[in-house]
Amino acid sequence: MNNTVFDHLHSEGLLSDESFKKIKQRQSSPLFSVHWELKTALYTGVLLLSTGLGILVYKNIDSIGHQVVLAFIAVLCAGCLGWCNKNKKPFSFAKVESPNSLFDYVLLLGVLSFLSLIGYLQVQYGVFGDKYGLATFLPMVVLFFFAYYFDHIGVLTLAITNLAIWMGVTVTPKDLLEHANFNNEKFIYTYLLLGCLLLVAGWATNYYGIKKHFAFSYHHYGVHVTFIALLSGYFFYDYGLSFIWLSCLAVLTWFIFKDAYRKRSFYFLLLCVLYNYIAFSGLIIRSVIKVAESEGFYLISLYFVSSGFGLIIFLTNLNRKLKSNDHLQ
Amino acid sequence: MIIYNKTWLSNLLLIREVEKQYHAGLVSDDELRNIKRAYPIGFYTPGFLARVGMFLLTVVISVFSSSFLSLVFAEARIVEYYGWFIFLGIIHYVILEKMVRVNHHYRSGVDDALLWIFAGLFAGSFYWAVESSSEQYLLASGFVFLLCLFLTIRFSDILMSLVAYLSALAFVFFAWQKTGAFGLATMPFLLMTFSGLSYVIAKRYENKDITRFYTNNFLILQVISLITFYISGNYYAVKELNDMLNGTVSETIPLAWFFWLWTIFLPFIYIGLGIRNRNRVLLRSGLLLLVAAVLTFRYYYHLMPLEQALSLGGIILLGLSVWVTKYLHTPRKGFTAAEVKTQREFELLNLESLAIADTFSAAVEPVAEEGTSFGGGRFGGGGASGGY
Repeated sequence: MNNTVFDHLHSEGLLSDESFKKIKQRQSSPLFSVHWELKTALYTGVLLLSTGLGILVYKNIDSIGHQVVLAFIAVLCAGCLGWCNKNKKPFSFAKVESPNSLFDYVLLLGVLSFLSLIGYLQVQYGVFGDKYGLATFLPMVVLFFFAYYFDHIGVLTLAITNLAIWMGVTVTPKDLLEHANFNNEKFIYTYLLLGCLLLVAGWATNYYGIKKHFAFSYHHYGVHVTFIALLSGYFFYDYGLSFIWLSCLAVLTWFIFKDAYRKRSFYFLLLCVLYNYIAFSGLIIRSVIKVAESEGFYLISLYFVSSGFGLIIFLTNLNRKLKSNDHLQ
Repeated sequence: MIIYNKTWLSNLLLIREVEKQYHAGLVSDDELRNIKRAYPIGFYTPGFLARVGMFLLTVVISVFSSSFLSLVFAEARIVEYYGWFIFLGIIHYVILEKMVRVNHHYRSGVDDALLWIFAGLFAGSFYWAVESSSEQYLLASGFVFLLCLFLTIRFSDILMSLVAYLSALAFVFFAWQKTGAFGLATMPFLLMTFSGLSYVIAKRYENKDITRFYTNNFLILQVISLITFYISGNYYAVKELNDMLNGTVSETIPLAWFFWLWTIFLPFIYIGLGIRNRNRVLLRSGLLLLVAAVLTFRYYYHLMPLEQALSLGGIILLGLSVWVTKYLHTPRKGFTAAEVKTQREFELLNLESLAIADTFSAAVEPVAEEGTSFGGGRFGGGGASGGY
């Protein structure tokens, strides 16, 4: 069918002679791109090598071999970063395109082996002594520096996760689910602080025009972390006190919703809707249980069915307004 | 048989073809707009994210309205039988048909959710009904196959066709198992034959005119049949399955050499054929199964410790891909390492960065230390895992 589609469109006059000729020419000599296969292979290679080396160092810590491994990692790190420095395009506060896809992965390998190196130096020689804060602070700063210097979003997200680690929490979804402990006031406030910090960073990135394409990463983590912190605060405290958290949530939603609507980003609108739905449903359930215990489940079911319908209609309308802009960003 | 408006479906296929050329820069904005106007699509298809949101909300509505109904009828004591769940399933199906036919939903999240809840309710009730029978697995896999086949034909859902294929494979497996020791011994070859035939059929009908609305279903069928073709003869799968079914612990299996050859060389054959025929399905399946081959080999033969194997594998993989990238720097023999430009490039970059954060910091666990406010935490998100 593919072959006749364009003949058909051409004969109907919907496709100009020029476009038709270009398409025919391309179809007669199709290029088979192995771009994504190569990218996946590079990514897997970096993953395997950095993991393997990381374990290798710790396993051989008491033998003579670990010096060799350490030297290898140092050479690898220096080699990768040096190569990237030589091949990078000049620095700019705007977006700098990476010279080629190889560049991104070599940089990633260099940065990861740097982290292994720092970690090893601390464990073996105690370079940072008992100042554990410094031992996580330094890699974070270096990561942020590399992210901006080489213009690499992947390194930036690594830096953001390291910022969280320095503050004593995690941000990746998997770790949030596995390790995070929200029954602890200190955690909730740390998350809240981290989230606000990231939101401000995202805002400042746009406002001052420094690497504007980094704003998404800040905003993405900021929105999730802040919402989760506010929600856990809301569920942590008793009925009366929780209203303070609920009002904070409402204020935050207002800002993020307005911003997302202006930027026509359906992703953040959807996040606002879903997180608020969780909060509001929590409020309904808590209130219903307080008032009517026996018929509670009927009321709650009715609430979920009607609110579900309402939200679907709301999302449909929202999506129609932003029709062509449904993407991350 | 297909539920959707066929003219709209054809228009959708046509516009996707044109959009591919548009993203490659061969069709102008005006042309695309005119073509879209000349070939209208009346489906309601929101973007991917809206689809996810509506899917979740539909599940919420379904769960609560079903439990509400069940509570209301709990007094009448009809809720405790599978008939009740069949009844709920029928309600879901009726709403699904209505949403698709009257409201023209097409991959909107609402229809996806209803489709899967219906299938789950029906399959679950059926299994409940035949649970006590001695042939329950055979019956259940047969029923799931028929159900999913029907839903695939009616809604051309890709995942549904995947489940249909897997249940058909399970049906063949359980049926052949009934023949006893002979059945067990010949099982790998039967499954190979079944998978191979499925691949040939899927390949043949991929681009036929009568199956033009099912192109993606046939594509996924090719992928899964290639994978099951490999697994049928994979040494680990054959040996462990044999042991499990016979209740034995064997040192080796008959025809071990054959299965080892199959395990190691089939991925290379896939990759080779994929490159020769410019077939992406074969190429990618081959690359994926190569990982399975390495893992199988490592399971039985420990040539070196894990970390050395990882490092060595990483170096080989990096070396190879760097070499191929350099080799294809200028296109050769119809291959190129360059990207075919798409509109969503920026988005993919963001997704990739999130994946980096998730994979490379997975092993790091922050430690709460009382007394110090920002002191906790171990080393940064390097690949350095292991207990240190």
